[in-house]
Amino acid sequence: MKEIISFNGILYHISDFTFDFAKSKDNTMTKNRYNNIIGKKPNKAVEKEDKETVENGKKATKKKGK
Amino acid sequence: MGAFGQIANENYSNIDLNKIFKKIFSKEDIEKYIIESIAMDLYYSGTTGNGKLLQTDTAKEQGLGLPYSKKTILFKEDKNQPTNRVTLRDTGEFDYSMYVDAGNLFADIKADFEKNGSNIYDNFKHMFKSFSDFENSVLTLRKNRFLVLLSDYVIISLQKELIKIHTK
Repeated sequence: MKEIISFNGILYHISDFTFDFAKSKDNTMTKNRYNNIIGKKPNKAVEKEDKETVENGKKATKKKGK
Repeated sequence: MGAFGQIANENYSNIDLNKIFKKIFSKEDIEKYIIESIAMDLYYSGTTGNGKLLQTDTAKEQGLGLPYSKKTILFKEDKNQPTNRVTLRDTGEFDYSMYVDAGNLFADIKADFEKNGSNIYDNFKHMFKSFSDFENSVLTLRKNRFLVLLSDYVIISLQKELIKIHTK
């Protein structure tokens, strides 16, 4: 997979379009991470949900690694 | 659990995001959003995607601070078209010629700038150093439009693509 792509002549990292998915070590994509990319302030209301998402992602990764 | 959770719990390290990128930018609704954004912003503001207020070379030479020459303004008035800004929309052919050319590593917005045997750029040489400079300026999505493209179109398409792979 090539990580550098061009949109309308400007070079981006592919994660700019795939919302950090490509760079995410634990294969998670949280709403706050997504909000951060689109320039919105982190939302406390979704932090709990995000935390659970990340934890679930880590657990799943660990299981696969075993 | 929603899409975020489903994606989060799977290992997608083998997914070719480049192919997904091409697929997303080949989608009709995404192309439509990009083209309509550029065409509408240009029509209603008279400025290019990177904020340049268009004025024709002849209008500049006349020094009246108008967007078009006096002669063009008469033509435009006769056709009930806006005269207080350059819209690049006369017959609508230019708008219809826009399209998105998408590959695995690039997505470019393109259009046909030829009109009646000449190039639209020929009218704006005092503002842009080259055709390429003019083309890039006109066919650029404004930052706010770009952010909406990411948040309302790309993210949803990406999720759908990943879920499709997930459920295979």
